[in-house]
Amino acid sequence: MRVRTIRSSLIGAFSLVISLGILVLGACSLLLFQRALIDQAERANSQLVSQLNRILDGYIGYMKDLALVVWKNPDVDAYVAAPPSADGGRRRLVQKFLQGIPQIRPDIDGLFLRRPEGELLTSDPGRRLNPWLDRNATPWFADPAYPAGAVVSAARVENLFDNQYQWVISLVLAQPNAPAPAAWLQVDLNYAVIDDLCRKIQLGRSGYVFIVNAAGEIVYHPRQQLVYSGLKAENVSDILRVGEGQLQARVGGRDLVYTVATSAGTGWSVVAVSYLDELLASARDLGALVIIVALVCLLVTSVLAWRVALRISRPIEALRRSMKAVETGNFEVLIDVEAPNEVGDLARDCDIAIATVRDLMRQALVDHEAKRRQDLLLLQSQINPHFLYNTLDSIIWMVELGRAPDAIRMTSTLAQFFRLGITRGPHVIPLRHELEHVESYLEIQKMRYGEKLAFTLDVEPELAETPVLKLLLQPLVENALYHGIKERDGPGTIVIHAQRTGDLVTIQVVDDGVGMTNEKLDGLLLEPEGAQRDHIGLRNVHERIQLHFGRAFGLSFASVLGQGTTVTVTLPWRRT
Amino acid sequence: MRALGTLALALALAASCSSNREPRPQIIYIPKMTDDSTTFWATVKEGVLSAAADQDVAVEVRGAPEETQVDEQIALVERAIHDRPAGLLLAADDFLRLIPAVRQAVAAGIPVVTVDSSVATDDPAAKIGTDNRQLGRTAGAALLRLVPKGSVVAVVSYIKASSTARDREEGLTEALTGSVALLPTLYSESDEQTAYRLAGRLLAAHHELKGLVALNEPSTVGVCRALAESGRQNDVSLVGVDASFEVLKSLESGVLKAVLVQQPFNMGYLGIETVAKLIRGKTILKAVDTGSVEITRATMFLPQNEKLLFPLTVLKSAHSVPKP
Repeated sequence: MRVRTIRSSLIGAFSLVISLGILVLGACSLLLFQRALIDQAERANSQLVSQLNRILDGYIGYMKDLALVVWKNPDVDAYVAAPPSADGGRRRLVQKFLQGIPQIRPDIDGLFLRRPEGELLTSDPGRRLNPWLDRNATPWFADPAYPAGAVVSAARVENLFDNQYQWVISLVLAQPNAPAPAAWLQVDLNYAVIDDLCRKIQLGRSGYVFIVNAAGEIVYHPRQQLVYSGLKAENVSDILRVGEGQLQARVGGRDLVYTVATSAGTGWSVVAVSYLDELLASARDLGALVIIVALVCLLVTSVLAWRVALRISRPIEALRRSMKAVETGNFEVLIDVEAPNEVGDLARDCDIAIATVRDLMRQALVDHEAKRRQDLLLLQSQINPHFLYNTLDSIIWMVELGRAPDAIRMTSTLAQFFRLGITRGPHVIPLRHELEHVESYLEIQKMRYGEKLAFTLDVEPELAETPVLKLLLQPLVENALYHGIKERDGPGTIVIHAQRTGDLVTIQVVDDGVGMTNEKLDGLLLEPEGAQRDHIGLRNVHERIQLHFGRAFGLSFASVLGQGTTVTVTLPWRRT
Repeated sequence: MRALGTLALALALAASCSSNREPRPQIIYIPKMTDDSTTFWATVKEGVLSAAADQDVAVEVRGAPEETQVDEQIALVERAIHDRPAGLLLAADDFLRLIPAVRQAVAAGIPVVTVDSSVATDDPAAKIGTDNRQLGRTAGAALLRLVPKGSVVAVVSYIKASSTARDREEGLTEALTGSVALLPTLYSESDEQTAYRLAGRLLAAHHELKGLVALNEPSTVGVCRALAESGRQNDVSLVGVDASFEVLKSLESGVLKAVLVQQPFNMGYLGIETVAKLIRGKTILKAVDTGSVEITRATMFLPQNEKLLFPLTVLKSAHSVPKP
């Protein structure tokens, strides 16, 4: 598994959350803003195209009205109805009437009245008609069945006059209620009117307006040549299908919005074109700002996260270093981590744990030392040559006197004594065995001292199995014998009591010997030096008890000079 | 504190980003001639200005009045280099003599695009214009439809050193060789009067002449006039190149049987668009054929041809119009 430091995890998580938040928020507001911008442009364009449509309807309506005015003129009626070349006077009247109209309205380029048989009157009699005119190119001249209603052309070039090619929008209206073939009136609107009107309109930097008629032919387009040569395309079929409203499209690699309004009067669709990239230019700025803010926040978060992570990881790092030292066995390390958080607590806990381990190790060392010492002490207790020499002397003496049964008894008792005392084995034995051992000892001494020594064992039966230290009682008894009984005049008695008081077992060795002074009593357990060597056995026992059972246990002494001494052994009660 | 400082800096940066719009690149356009009476060049300029608006670039037009003023055009290019524009659009007067000036501009790091007429080397980043060899071939094919096989045919070209003239002649010759008898090519020097005189003399000297091809607008106008005066328009078939008012009249009256019309608006438009793309590091086409359209009397008033033949801004009467 890849190891990830706390620092990198924190920085990663913080950065992710912050940047994600800002980006989501930014994207949402950006989308809303874009929507609002497009809506605004669409509303503005809708107003524009319907306004433009009204103006165009106005022009076309005006042309139609003009045509109707001509047809309502009684002179015109009479002129059309008269046979060809009949009335020159009426012809001049009509000519004058037609001639007057473009003088009032300069945006009307020309009027052309054609009688059914082909005679053509124009609003400009001073101009020669185009001698090369190809009548087949103009359908209302060529086709007698041309629709009777008013027809509006797309933008076209008028070539009726000689030496003039004029861009116009033409309206053609047959004489109302006349039998076919009817007379025709053509009204030409100067195309510059529409061109000027539309060319001035600029939507954004490069947006524009164009017009198509119901047949999909272009009436006006600022880049008409590009459209015709295929360098520029407009989705004319979609626009005609929509008729009214908005249309988003992708044309020439740019996304744009068409806003379409179609006039019922002319059948023309006015289309406003706005480029999305221009509409959304300010949204792009906002987007850039969002990204920059996100980046800055990211930077700030990273710095903050880095610092927070440092505050956590630095103490952990220190802790780790300390623990490394501990791993190599150095328990003297003091973890010096000051952090006002959980890591600080952890460091303190570790410190405590290390201290405890350190103490335990010291204790183990001490205990080990004590154990060795205990073994040594036991070994010392076992070596008691004087007793052995004396007993052997007694046996020799008995043998010499021929007291064979006594010698046998003493020898076997001595054997039993050593079997119990010298054999290697556990340090702790049942009290029963220890009493047997001390009894053997007393038996042997009894045989030597005779009437001078008496002894009694007074042990509660339930204590028979309680654990005691090996060679516990013999030194006490020996002490009572040599420093109590032996010194007094006349026979003495040694009593051994063993009883239980609650959790304690007390074993008392009571003699009625000479007793001891208080000074002597106090010196019994001190370090053996010089004269005090006599009591080395007592000190040894006391120390062994304390090593094995603890400081609460051991020997205590009570003595009255001339009346005797009592040595009390205090041990824990352990049920077996 | 440090974080706050960084934030402030970033916001200032963002603000400056959004307020600073890059200035519009400056492009210098040097046409063959600045005389707007030539419909062709007026229309090229129209395309140039339209593209400038669409591409958001500024265009300055500098040029000599006449196509024959080659030295003046060289001087104009050199002065343009000195002014360090973002790009240069050039219609070369001479396809050899302009080479050093074009090289100098390219060496100065100014992208050069040629429109209509180029130079004989690959130095320009792109060449926009009619494939003149193809135009010549089309003119030849148009003539072959009008005259019987084996007829005597003459060609009125314009400037011998012009690359477009050379290419048109080559294409034409390629189409006509073997089918008709070609008289030696005449050169009008792009002058109507010269063309008129040359054609008049030709018609007088060659009664067997059945076909004529004029290879540019002034030549076509001059030849039309001579042919109309000779009264032989039903006997001699004329194919011209490039439309003007007079040319169109001749087409309508039947003096001129067919005319090949180039797309000058598209040349100007695509020329500026290509320079703008170069400036902005976009990919461009090294050569663009803007094509040509063959127009006869029957097709001249079709909607798609009207815009080509009667450019609105050039022909439009200038009177202002009140609203209804």
